[in-house]
Order: sequence, then C-alpha cells, then structure tokens
Amino acid sequence: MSDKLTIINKNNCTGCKMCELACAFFHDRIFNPSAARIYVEKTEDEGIDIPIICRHCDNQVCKSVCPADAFYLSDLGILKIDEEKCTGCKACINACPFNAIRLSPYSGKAIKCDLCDGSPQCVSWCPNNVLDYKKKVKDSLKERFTKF
Amino acid sequence: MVYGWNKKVLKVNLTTENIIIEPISGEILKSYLGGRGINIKALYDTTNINTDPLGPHNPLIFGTGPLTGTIVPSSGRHNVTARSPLTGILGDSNSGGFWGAELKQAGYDQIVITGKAERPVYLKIINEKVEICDAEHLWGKNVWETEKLIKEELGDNDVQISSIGQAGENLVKISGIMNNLSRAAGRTGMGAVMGSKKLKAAVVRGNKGIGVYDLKRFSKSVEEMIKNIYSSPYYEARSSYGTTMLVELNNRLGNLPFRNSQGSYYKDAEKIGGELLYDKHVTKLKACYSCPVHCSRYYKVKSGPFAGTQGEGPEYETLVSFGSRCDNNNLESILYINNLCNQYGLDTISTGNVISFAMECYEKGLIKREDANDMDLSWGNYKAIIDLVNKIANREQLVKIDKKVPQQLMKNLGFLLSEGVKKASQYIPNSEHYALEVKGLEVAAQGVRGIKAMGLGWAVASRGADHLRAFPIAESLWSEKDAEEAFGTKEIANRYAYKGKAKLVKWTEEFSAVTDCLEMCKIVAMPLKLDMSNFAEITSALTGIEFSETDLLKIGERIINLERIYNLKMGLKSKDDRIPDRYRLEPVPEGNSKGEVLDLDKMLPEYYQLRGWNEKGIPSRKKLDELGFSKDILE
Repeated sequence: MSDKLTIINKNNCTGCKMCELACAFFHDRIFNPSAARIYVEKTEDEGIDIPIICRHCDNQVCKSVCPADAFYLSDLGILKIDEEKCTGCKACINACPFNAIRLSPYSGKAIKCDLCDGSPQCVSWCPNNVLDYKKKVKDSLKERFTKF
Repeated sequence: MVYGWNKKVLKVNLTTENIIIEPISGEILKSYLGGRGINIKALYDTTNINTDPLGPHNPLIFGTGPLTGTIVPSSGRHNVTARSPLTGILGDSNSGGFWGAELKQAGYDQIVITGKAERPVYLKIINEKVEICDAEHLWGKNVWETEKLIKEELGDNDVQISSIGQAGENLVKISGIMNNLSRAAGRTGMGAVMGSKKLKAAVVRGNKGIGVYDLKRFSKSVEEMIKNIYSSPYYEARSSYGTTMLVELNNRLGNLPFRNSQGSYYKDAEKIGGELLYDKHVTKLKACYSCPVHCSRYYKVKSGPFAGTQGEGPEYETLVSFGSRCDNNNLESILYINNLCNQYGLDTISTGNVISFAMECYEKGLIKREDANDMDLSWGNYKAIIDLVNKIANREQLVKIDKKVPQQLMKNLGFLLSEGVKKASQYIPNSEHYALEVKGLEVAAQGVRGIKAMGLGWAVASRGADHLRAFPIAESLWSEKDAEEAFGTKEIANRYAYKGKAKLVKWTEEFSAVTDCLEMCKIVAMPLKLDMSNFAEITSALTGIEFSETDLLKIGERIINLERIYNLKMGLKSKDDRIPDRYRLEPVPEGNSKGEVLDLDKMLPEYYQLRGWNEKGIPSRKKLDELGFSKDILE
C-alpha cells in the first residue's frame, strides 16, 4: 500500500476548483470538473468549501464490495480501478464512506484518485496549500503530537 | 472535442417556447472573440431605436469567452447584455462566480432569450436538454431563497443559477442578475429586463468539457500567467483584502466619495475600510472559478445589532456606496445592506448612489421629513438607508403619481429612486445638480476630480458612468518610467495631469474590451501584470487560431466602435459624453486632491481624434473601413 496520501486542510480552501480542473486535465486531457477525481463540495450560504478525495483507506471497502474485482494495487502500491473490468455498477460508489468515487462522464466507469502515480496534480495546482501530499494519518498524527 | 469555444448559441423564445441551438460562425468569433464582443454583435443585429427595453423583443443575452471554463487563471466570468431600461442605450454587465464556466461545460458560448412568458418560468439547461420550467412558486422569493429552492428541487448542489430577486421582478431600473448568491451582473438594469420576461432564473449544468489545441504551448502560457500573478507586488494585498483595500488607499489620495461626492475625503474611512473588515468579520477567503487570487471574502458579524449577518464580499464599491457616500461609518450595517441588496438583486453602486442623492436632497431641503413619510434622511442614518433599500426593491408606491402636487410624490420615494437617479431628479424640483450620472447610469465610487483619466473614462464609457470600461489605473499605480516606456510620456503616471490621458483611456478601453471578451477578470489582469501578450498566446494555444497582440487590440477597438455606433443609433449625442457639473465646477474641499476639478475639454477632443471620430463623436468612414464595418452601418 502507498504510505502517502493527499491531506486536506479545508480551512484554507477558497473553492476555486483549480484542483478539479488540473485533475480532469491530467487524466483525460480535457477541462471538465465532472470528470475529476477530486471534488470541492461548496456550501455557499455558510461559506464552506471542502475538497473530497480518496483517503486511500487501509480497510478498502470499495475494493471488497466490487463484484467485478476491478480494484487492484499498482506497482507503486496505489489502489486503482481497472477500467476494462469495471462495469459501472456503482457498488463502490455506494460503499465509499467519503463519497470519493464517481462515474466518468466519458467511459461510464468508476473513477477515483490514483495519486497521479505519485505526483498529485491537485496538490501542485492548489493556490492555497489546502492539499498536501504526505505520509498517512498515523505518522502525521505522531508528527503533530511531537510538535505539540 | 472543442477547443476554447463551443461555437454554439442557445436561442430561447419565451413567448413561443421555441428553443433552438445554432452555430456561431468562425468569422464572428474571430472578429468579436466572445463575451462582451459577441453580445454587442447579437444586440446590434436584433434591436433598433423602437425596441422597448422592457418589451418582448429586447433580447437578454448571456455570453462567455473562449477561456471560460478552463484552468486559465481568473477566466470564469460572463457578460449579460440587453438594451438598458435604465439608460435606453447599451446595457451590459459582467459577473464572476461559477455560472459562466458551467454554461461552457453545458456546451454553449452564449444564450439569447427573447419573448415574454405568460407566467413566471425558469430556464433549465442540462447539456443539450433545455426546458422552460414553471417558476410560479419562486416568484416573490429573494435570490438566496430561489437558489436554495432550485437546488433542492433538482437534487443537485452543483447546478449554477443566475436569478433575479424581487427588484428585478418589480422592474426596478437599478436591478441586477445574481449568481452564486452574491456575485452580480449588477449594472444597467439587466434584472428588470429579465423580470419583464417573467424569467426568474437561468439554471445550467454541464459535463461536456473543453479541450486544448496545443497542449505544450498552453501549459507554458498558463504557468507564465500564474507566475506573473504571484510575482506582482500587489498580489499579497489583493489576495487578502481584495478591492476593499482601496477604501484606505483612495482616502489617502483624496479620491474617496464623501456625502454624494461633495467631498473626496472621509475622516472615518478606517472604520469602513478593508483592514478592519478583514480583522473583525472575515471568516475565510473566497475565489471565483479557477482563480488563484481569491479576492472575495466570506464574512460573519458576531455581535451587536447586526449579529448573525453572514455573506460574501463586499467590494470596494459597496463599502463606499453605503459608507462614505452616505457618511455612514457603521461597517456592520454596510454588511447587512450588502446582503439585502444581493438578496433583492439590486446594483449596490446605483442603489447607494440614489440613496446618497436622496440624502443630499434632504440636506438641501428639497425632500422634507413631513413629505417623506416621516423618514429621517440625515447623513449616516443607516436605519433610513435600510428602509430605503426595502422601499426601492419593492418599488413602493403609496400614492398616485401626480406631477402637480410634487410634495405628494415624496411619499413614493422608493418608487422614484427605483427609476434611477436621473429620472428621480426629474421628479424632485431643483435636484438635477445632485443627480450624479452619465448617460443615465449612476456614477461609481471614484473621486474623478483627482484622477483625470478615470473622469474621461466615465464620460465616454459605452454603458454610462463606469470605472470598468476604461479602468485607467495606470495614472495612480504606474511609475513614471513605465509610463514613459509604454506611452511616451511620464505624465500618464501623474494623476492630476491631463496630458496623455486620452491616449491612456483609448488603450485601457481596448484592453478592457479584450478582457471582457475573454471573460478574464480585469481586477486581476490590470494590476497583477497580465498583459496582451499573455492573452494572445493563451488564446492561440487554446483555440488553434492565431491571435497576435495587435489582433486582440484591434478586436477591442472594433467592439468599442460597434458599441458607439449602437449608442448613436439609440439616440446618443456627443453632448452625452459629459461628467456631472459637481466634478466640473466644485473644487474638492479637502484631502489630497484639494482644489481639483475635472475639465473634460482638456481631454475629450483629443480622445475623439485618437479614436478616429469626428467632433460629434461619430466614427469616420476611414475608421469604419479599417475595422471591417460595412459602408452603410451609420445609416
């Protein structure tokens, strides 16, 4: 398993959606937020913007519910979806507790964050350091406690 | 895959319920680029002097640019255009937020809405699926309620909604069209045009995507633009305070309107300024679509009589409009009024202007308390300002209008002011001098006696008194060296000087026209070092059609001229290129522009000459030929 993931500091998020655009463009060479693997949930009347993205859980419920066995670990240890195998049945979408999986408007297959194979585009394009590519929660918590 | 433009216009007739999708020709896109450009072209082609601004034949046009919807920084804006019910000439307004980008994602560059629905409706556009939906249940609701109800109804939090509040429904001439709760196509009464069509909202959602013609060139160009933005000395301030920092700055320069622009300095500027707002009420910074500058802010008032007031903004113009212009130093009240205007769908610039006009009429004894339903319109009385905003939005009319009994009229003050300041002053005897407008559009919040190019910009702007048609901030921000290099005279950078200002305004008008076509934010572009070479490069890389800097500026010039020709056809005369007497005759009483007046005659003839217009402000045959207009366009 990948020992790193994209960390979110939602308080900095200004809701500009550049992460969505960068993500969609990296994967499909087109600017289309609906095809992005990251999604900024906006609550404009309360002034809240929260980026939603795969947490790369240890307990991969998406993988375990997939009837087509489309989820696999890449050579880099990143959990990915095999587009050939995926049938677009939405079982993973319903199972994911973070709403981090959606169907591609192009292929109709499930898509989710694949960490851009180790250099997440959303992280590099975010203008406000909302997103960070870091070690997983356990370690970063330890890090935080050390600082504390 | 589409590169930049979708090359499609959606045409909806609300009378016949006819919906068609038509191609936009490559020729039009090459000549007019997008947004403001393709909108004026469509307006010019379909209206004439007999078109009633509030009648079914006046088209309500929404336009986006080629860059809109892509990752190009700050390019997600849109323009709304129609013949203005406020001014009778070109009506055009530009808004940020997320609506324009969504329209592009749905597969269109432009929507043209004509006709008039029998009952309230809203337009629902989901990719190719376009429907006219019942909006009876939304009529009478404010903008915030409308957005919430539509999102609930469609079960989609990500639909983008342009809608009107009660002000637009009531045909208030200073009403705008709102999107994302607090972003406004505010100016020139576009809300009333939408209201006249019984159209409550235009709702869009799309997932078509926008492709790029030349990936490598595009990426390089975006990186360069972002680098330019981040390296600008103004980035830090712009990205924290946004335009609100201008309150303190303009006050220091002596250019902050005070008491309906009687003065240009406000002793309490810090109490309504950007720094205090940021420290006390701002909860988070907020960006429009694909913008790294995030110049807007969410705010929440935590205590006092306005506790709980929560919203977005306000911009500099709003702080001044309801602050120093009305001598009101209560910041929390301004935040409350900002929300109120956004909910009703009122243009904060014009609304603050008509209220400060009423307050000056009260000061001068032209409006008396006993005539005006016991309203105390003393300077700074924010309760009266709130009261008036309500009355304006509801177009309150308590007695039958009868010109023979002018005192009776004051009972209808809300109604009078809802007509805009020019019309209102015609009802109130001897008040013309206090009605600050050009071509019928209320002036914005600049102290133009101390910034001469801005004054010229107001006088010649194609939609009436407005700071964003020219936006010649070089006279306050540039160094003498930069000015000399760009324009051959260092006096451009001297805000008191007249020399060179005609040249500056001509250039900035063309620059601004290009940004309005590309739907780039000029608040980002102008001060944060984005220039025409960036725009030419990125547009070429994205669309695959080669544009040089000169091509773009020529398009800008073409648009300025077509807007001029349109206005001439709507009855505009050169005498309408003017500034209110207050700025011409009354020297600034105190502050750093003390003693200044604005003498338009020192700039206007040169401006006409540089434009290739005759002394009557009419484009010459040579200029028309050069810009590719037909010979008979002026007939």
